Amino acid sequence: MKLKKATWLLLSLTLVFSLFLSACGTESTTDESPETNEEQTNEEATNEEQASGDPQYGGTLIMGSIGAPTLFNPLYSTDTASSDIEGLIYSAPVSSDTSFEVEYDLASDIQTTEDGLTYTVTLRDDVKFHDGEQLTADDLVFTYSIPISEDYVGERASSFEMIDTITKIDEYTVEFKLKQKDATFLPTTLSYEILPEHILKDVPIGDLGEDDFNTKTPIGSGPFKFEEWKDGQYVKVVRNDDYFQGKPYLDAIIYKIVPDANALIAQLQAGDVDYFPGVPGSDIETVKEWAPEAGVKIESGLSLAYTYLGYNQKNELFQDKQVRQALTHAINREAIIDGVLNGDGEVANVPESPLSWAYNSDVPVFEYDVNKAKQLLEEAGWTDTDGDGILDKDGKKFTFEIKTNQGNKIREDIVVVLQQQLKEIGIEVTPNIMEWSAYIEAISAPNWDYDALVLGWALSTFPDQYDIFHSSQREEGLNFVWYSNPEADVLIEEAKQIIDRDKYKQAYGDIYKIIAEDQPYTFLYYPNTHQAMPENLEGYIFHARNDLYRTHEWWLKQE
Amino acid sequence: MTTYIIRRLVMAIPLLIGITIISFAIVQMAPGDPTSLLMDPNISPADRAKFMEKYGLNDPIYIQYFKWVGNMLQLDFGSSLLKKGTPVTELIMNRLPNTLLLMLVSTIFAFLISIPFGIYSATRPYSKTDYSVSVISFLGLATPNFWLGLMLIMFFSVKLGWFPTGGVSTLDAPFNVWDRIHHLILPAFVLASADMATLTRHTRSSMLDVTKQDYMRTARAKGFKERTVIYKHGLRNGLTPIITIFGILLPTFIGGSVIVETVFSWPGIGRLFIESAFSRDYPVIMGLTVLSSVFVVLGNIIADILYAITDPRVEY
Repeated sequence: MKLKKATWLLLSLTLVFSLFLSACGTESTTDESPETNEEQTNEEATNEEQASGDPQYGGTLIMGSIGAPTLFNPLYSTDTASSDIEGLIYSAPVSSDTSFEVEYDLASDIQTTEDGLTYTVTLRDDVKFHDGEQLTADDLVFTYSIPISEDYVGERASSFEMIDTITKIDEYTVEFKLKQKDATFLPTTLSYEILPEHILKDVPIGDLGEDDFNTKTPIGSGPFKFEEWKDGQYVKVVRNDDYFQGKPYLDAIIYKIVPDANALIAQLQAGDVDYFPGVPGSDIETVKEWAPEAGVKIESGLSLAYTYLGYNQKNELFQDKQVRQALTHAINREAIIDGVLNGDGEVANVPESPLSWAYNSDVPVFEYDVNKAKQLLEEAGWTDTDGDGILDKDGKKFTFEIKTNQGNKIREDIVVVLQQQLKEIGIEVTPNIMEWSAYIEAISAPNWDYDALVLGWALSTFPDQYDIFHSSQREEGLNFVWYSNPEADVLIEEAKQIIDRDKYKQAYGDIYKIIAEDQPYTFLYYPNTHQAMPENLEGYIFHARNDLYRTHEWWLKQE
Repeated sequence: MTTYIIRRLVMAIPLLIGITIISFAIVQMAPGDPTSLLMDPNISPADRAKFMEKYGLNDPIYIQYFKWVGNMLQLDFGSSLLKKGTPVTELIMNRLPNTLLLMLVSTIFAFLISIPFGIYSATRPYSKTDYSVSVISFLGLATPNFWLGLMLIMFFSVKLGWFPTGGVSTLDAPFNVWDRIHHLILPAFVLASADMATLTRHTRSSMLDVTKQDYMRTARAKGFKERTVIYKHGLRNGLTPIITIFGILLPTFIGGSVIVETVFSWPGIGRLFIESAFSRDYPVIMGLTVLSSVFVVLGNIIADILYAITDPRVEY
């Protein structure tokens, strides 16, 4: 009996140990990458002895990210982390510069016909994929044919739905025929990155989203080559010596996943992360204190986004435009920016960023004015008849709930501040903070189960308000506040047909005037973004939409 | 004992089936679906609907369940909805070794530190040392793991530079045992901290019971050294309840590791669990549920085996 027990002990121990050993086993095999470590690369770089001021080759940049990527194929991924890395691996016909103007990347020329229905895209003839194959018109035709195919299962079809036919004209020229005029085709559709036809042509389109190419062997024509992805740890890309815009200076970029923002900042301070483009506004003062000591510098700017308080216009409370305007008058947005954001933002009045070429500030503005708010509400029939401090009309009290998502400390605080501010004019607000998925399900079609909500939109580089403010998008789309103004509808539809940029801006100026007047949202603020990077990083350009803009020009200055 | 273990394993099957049914239902009933993350003006409702259709998410729940069970019986846990096409087993197997390693080391930490302290307190009850150990234990129990983790990172990694700030190994460096241990110490300590407190308290009370037993007095009367009395006669009897705690603790390490793994960027299954829960990645959630249920069952069986080893009266 004794022996038997000893055997069992031994068995359970071996079980535990074999787990342990196999753990080490798998790790060691995957860790075995004969990479030059940083010291060596530093040596190489100093050996090259470059004149100061001239870019120097060498060095690895570790970028920290809270989000983890999912897969590296622009036609199938939907998250920021994945698209960050796609931007390094792949390249697209066009991209956008710091003021969001279209700039040519793979394209050397794009011609449009008078009617705006035909686009002729000429590609550069000096571009190679990472495996050495030439990038040609076939690759463009192949890539852009995927999302318009019946078999395509992905989330990007709507960006391509205006395309009627794609024809290869010659080795480097492709002609697109559109079903109707569409202003978003050039800036948005043509910014999708190109996949290699020679590798993927035999994969059925229906299976492309699940192909190993996306996660194990992505090959593109961007400044960096995919090397390794360790799930939950990091993605490593290395320099593409043959990059068509010029050989990048950095040896490699490691995209490190650190899921906790506080831990990420600690890693930045300890030097385990070099570049963190998303330092939260609440931490920026502390980071600035130790930044010089840690060899970190900070670039700040407005981010291409805005945060708003949206009113459910299916709800009787918010159907009157005057009431919505009164609410905006009652909300002290400056105080929210100072109190909640530590002054780290700008008051917003339109759904467009001041950074954009299409920005137009010539719109009705509803300043913080409690008396005006009270007056407007009284005109709309809201008075405190029973003296309980809460406005009422026809026996109904002005009370409502503001929903927002959990985990975003700023939004949670904003809701509480709104509660206090609105109390001053006799409106009772109940905050309701929900888990993200549950929140999205509650507020969006077909539930619209909320009174008001605090949420933010990240803006695209090309302004198009169709999806958010056109009344056709109420039933299913993102117009979940049920905003509807026939005049705005017509203007938004018409703008879609305008190819000329100045006219487009003008048209949107009018649209913003109507939207600002109607106040379907109280536009709260544009947040700032803070990017922390090594002091010796040179060639870096701040881009509000792209944290990895022109990385091939980035270099690390060595002492 | 072999038949006993086989019986226990067979009994676990209906339990596991029950667990999968309940968790499948709960996961599906949670509001939102995998497309909730796709709040993007560039993604149309039609595209979202196509996604739901392709992955059979519009089918009635029981059909989805039977499909899932059918595949699972062939050891196919499906593939992640978020990381399209990546098999759930691959995702889990990439992460599981990291979590097991962390669990193993923190369990060793917890036992190595708490049992001696528990015994020490029990042999000197109501002394100053006993009170200090109690106070420290309660502090350990009350300190949130994420706070402790961040404080340790700030102090030992950022200020003193003694330990790395996170991760399982130095980025992009060849495998090195010392490097791995170096990365393990802080997270394993934090993960062990709360359990250390529990274990110390349990060891103390259980040893305190034991020291009052007749056989202890007999042992002393026989003239054995106090050391022998405590460790040979007392400890073996006092440890039996601790084994029960071990059986309970084993699966909770997975839950507890969520926070530690997040703070220390440790690529383990705790983090995978929370990531997939937030993104409603049903196949991954279910795969992990099955895994942790198996852990619970195994943890209890191992505890029972250990009973038999420590307590001569227990026979199966």
